Amino acid sequence: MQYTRSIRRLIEELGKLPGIGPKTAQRLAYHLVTASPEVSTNLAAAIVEAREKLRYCSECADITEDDPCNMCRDERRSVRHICVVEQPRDVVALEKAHGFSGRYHVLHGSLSPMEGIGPERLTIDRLLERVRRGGVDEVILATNASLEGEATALYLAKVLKNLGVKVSRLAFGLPVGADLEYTDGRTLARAIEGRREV
Amino acid sequence: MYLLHLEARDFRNYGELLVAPHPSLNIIRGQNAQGKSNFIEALYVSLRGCSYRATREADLIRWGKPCAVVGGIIKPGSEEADLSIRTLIHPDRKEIRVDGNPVRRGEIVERTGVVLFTPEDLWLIKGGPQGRRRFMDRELGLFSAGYFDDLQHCRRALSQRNALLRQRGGSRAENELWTEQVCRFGARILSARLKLLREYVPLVCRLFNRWTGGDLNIRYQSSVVISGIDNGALENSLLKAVVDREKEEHRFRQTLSGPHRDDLQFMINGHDARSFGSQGQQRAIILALKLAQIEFWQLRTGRQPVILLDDVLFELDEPRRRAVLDALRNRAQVFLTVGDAVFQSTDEHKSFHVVDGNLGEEG
Ligand SMILES: [Zn+2]
Repeated sequence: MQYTRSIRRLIEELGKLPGIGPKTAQRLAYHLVTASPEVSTNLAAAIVEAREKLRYCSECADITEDDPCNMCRDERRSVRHICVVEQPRDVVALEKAHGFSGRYHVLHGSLSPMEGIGPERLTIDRLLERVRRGGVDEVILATNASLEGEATALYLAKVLKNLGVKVSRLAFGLPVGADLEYTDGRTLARAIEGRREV
Repeated sequence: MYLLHLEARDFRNYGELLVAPHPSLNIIRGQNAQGKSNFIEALYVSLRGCSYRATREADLIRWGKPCAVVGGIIKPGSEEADLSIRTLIHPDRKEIRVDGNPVRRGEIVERTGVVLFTPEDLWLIKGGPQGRRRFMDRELGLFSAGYFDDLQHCRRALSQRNALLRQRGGSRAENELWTEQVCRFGARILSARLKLLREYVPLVCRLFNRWTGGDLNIRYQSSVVISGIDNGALENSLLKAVVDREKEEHRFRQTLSGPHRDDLQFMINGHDARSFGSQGQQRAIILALKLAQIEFWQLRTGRQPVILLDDVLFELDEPRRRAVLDALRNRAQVFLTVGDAVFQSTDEHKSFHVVDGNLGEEG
């Protein structure tokens, strides 16, 4: 089938997004060009605005409009506990679970030599600096229960222990292979509650 | 355990396949290249959720069709409810459902038993170590809880560590981390294999020795020095092997020790059957391995696996053929392909005839 050039470009760009296959990209593209014009202009504006305003929090590396982010400025949240997660969406999942009232730290991935991700590609240095500054009692490792998430937790446990801080891990095992974002709130709250020192 | 019902759509050369097999003997007749082996493969997929001979999922799908479906209804035991397993095969992915709920492949393998005989089995002896490792992983691993998950983690940890070795970078801490992962899961696999073999190997040897009067010995050849078979001891053995071969590993840039480098060796009267065994001896080992697998199933689960024989029975000499048929007489469900000639069975059975992707019941 022959597409006109601009539709082909739209399908290509949409197809680069995670979780969007060629069929979905095609459906979205045709929807966007046939729906009322506001649908596309609003979407385009929202994307541009998000890109312009959003940045990484200089403290926890979460995505935020204001730096430091809301959570890093929230006095009610304890600075003595830091919960380390892989992705910004994991912060959302944990917040929904209402099981944690400390601060977060977002790694933006997990260790994976196959994808060329070593410790220097994650925000580990920044985390160590936060701990070195003092005032932190416990770091809770809430990386995913995948092989890479588990390995990342082990690595962090080692480097953090050298700094004399208490380190704990969420209470779920590796065979589950569960991603945090797909874990329901009750289970997550229980996993934080039952965390074990490592 | 037996198959009550098999259903397939757009699988290999079959458009539509609907069969209600006999609970004991099923004979499938047909000339070559009509679809007998594909039928056996469909039976296997219905029980295991994967094929034993397709290299790509796409090979399983009928030409020009988007996907294939294979479904079976299984009677696990007299006391248990029927189990419905449905495998949907797309060129790039597969979906397995048990009673409508999606499951991982490892889960159904632990619930359904199947033992397959094909002419290619001979490669288990003649071929490279990979086939023998696959045999241990696929056919024995299912009797060890968590084996499939551990195996996946083990392979992934290996890929990660090898990637790091290829990059040559990595801090000491990072190198240690992935070495530990490889050894941790490698030890679990190694331990499970050794424990399973300890029970399984005597069954194989007893059968072989009874038939041939020879003395069969099966040895697990490991890439590491084994001093104990619990996880902890094996993890230490693996870690030590990594330290010992550090220079070599950096030269070849891959992990050289672990269950992924191990092998099984078959010795007849002290000689390696792979190099020195006759064709007849090699066949007898295969037969002993397979019949012992059936026994192993019965021992471990108290059930009979479904038995599939694709074109093998008539390659055997009369005493061996009788040994197979005797072993199968124990209430197991058997599917057996034969040539076009009518097969005389004294037992109650159903007979099917295959012509060009159409399977019909006879008589
Ligand atoms: Zn922040």
